[in-house]
Amino acid sequence: MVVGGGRAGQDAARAAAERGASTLLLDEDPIAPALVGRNVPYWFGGLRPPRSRVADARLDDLAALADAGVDVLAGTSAWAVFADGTVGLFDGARTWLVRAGEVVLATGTVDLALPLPGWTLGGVFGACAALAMAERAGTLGVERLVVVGDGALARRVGDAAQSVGTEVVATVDGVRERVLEMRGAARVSSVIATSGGQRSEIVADGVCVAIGRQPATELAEIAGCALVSHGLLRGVRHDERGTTSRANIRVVGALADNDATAASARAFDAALGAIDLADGTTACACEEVSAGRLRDAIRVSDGDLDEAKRRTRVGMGPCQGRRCLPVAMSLIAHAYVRPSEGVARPRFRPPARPVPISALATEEDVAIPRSAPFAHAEERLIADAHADRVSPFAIARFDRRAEELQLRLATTGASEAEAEQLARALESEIRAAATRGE
Amino acid sequence: MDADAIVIGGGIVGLTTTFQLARSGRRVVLVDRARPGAEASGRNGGHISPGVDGGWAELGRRALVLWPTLAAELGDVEFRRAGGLYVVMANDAVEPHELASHRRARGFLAEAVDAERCRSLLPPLAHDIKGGVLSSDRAQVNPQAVMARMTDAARDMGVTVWHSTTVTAIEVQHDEVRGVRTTSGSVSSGAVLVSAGPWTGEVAQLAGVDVHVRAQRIQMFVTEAVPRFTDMLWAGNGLYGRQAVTGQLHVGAEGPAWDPPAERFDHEVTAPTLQRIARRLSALMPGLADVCVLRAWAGIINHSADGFPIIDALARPRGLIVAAGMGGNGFGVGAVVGCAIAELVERGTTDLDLAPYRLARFASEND
Repeated sequence: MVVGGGRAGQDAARAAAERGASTLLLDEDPIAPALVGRNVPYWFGGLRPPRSRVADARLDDLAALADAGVDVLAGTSAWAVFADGTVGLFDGARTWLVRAGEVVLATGTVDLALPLPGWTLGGVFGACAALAMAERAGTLGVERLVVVGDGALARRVGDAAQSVGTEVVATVDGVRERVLEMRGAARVSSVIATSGGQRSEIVADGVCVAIGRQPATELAEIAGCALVSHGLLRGVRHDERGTTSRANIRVVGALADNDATAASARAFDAALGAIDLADGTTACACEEVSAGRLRDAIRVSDGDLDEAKRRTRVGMGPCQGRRCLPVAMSLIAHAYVRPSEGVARPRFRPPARPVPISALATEEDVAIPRSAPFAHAEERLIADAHADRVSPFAIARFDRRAEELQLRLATTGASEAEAEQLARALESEIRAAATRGE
Repeated sequence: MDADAIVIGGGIVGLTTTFQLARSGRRVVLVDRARPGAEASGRNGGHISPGVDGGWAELGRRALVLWPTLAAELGDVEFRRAGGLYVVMANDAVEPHELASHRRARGFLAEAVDAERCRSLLPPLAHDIKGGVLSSDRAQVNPQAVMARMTDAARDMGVTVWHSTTVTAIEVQHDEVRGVRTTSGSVSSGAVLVSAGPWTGEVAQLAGVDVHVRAQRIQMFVTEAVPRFTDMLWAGNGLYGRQAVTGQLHVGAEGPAWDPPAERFDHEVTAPTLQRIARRLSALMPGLADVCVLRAWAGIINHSADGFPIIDALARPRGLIVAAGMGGNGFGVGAVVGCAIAELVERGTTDLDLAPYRLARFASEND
């Protein structure tokens, strides 16, 4: 199974199909509006595409893959990868599980948010979001754009913006030239920047932060793959083939490019260092936690990010820390001495995408083979519960343990007599437990 | 360094003991292998809704009395006592009135209510339910806020907290506890509490004491925020849930038999259990079908062999107190246990009858 239909994912899928492996490729595009609104997986910052579709070039690529024998599922996300190679899929309506002999993660990169004053205003977004929006929707919904960053990524954003009719009114490198503040009501309307000691106010209705990108490691984290720190960021540990610490999971493409991650980490650190992060600036946008509150929590937690998270809810909102955890780690790293492997950061937990309850509920229930002695024991307990001789709350406890035992009996092919014995023993235990201590 | 008491394990039991002792002016050292509240006490569902059977009844009754006061003392821990509704599904074997009278007979408030009343209390509820049991004194709290505030208050009162610390030895001489050695230093004390949840056995072993508890991994998930529709706890169809002050739903249930909880010390989330929680919630509250799940997690609870807590101030070695096996409703009753142990350390006695919770009951059953 290949997760991600970009160049690296396509190559991996094609190679697998050519080897004769039954190959399934998932591609999340088009990114659902619900995800866009939650800043998942990119920092969309309130951008609302009038429409979103898979880009023509991508459609052609996926069609070619299908011709090459790959099963392609468009509009489908992976919400979890488990260590045994089971992958949870989600197509917007339902979830289901697929067992794969090998899982190739080609999930690429996601945005790095900078806590510039005013960064939570609408119209302030990341580079991945900008590129995705330009390609899929053919528009950014921005007339006048300021780009923050000066590397290849910033240039790509500038080019993409211009190609969809957005004017790039300024590019600020983020270190020598800095954004001091972004102003606006609900949406950004002007940017105060400084360059060579000169302040200027730039009228703009969009700001794209293009300092760098972080690898989209959530599925690797969920699967328990070993990670490797690169300054404030972390990637997946892998060998030259991309094989991770889980032998059945490989990483490819931008996700696996640990050199690029290290470079982004350096750029991010430099840009963060140039920001005078006031206590009043928002640190976690989802949970509305200020930098001051986060700093206090870090101090009280003696530099433990897990504890600071529990105290403030930082990283617990819909974007699950994509925008705020690198910043939180920066606050810790600069205040506490840390060993060379970097600041410990909590691992991503499933689901990797917000999934509706009804969608998670769609997997088939496995039937437990029932055996008569347990049914009889349950009947006796229920009768006694009605007669107030046994706690009615004990029935649920009996049912739960009976389920486990009947499953064990079915898998070991035990005899009727054994079933009878186990059922009676369980019944006695439940009866005794309900009254002990009274 | 010496102390009036050393507490090993900063979960709700150990932390409450520490907090109460500190308020009485005692000198306490709290030791934790990670951080106070990093394990089950910081991962649970936040229900103050104790079991009513057997040895749980007395602890449960006390928990319902203790928590309003304790919460007020701690400050804003999002404590809300709006009651709990246990929903009885159409195919449940027992009737609401049977459950209600069972609770009342054990000294708990409980009223059987019909389906219509249930739905008026919890609008997203399914139609085809028998009804429910309303217990108006049950409450909810933010367990992470409790742990944070109690830890901070303890520190403010002079408690020494050694986090990220492993106990390497419990010193016993002439059948009396003398102190502990840890990776952060040594402390002398005549009172050592081992309240280390699933790790209680291995720590108690350092003093030559056998404590057996079974670990069980329990999973929950949290949803995005939805407009507040209740301040009540709810349970039914095998699951339990509540809505946080900020609107997120916290829901948990035991997983299916083919996804065994086993004796797990990991915090992995599994698909079958996650799906079961979602399936059960969909059946219980179809009105929540479109709400998105943001994150699932796991915590590790622990049970004794007979399913009731172990709370024992041992005769040998004297000065060693063991508290474990708090089970599935441990957060609520854990605070009661912590208060009782603090009294025990301070005064030598506690008004909670500890006879049902003695460790020795297991040894005698094996004879």
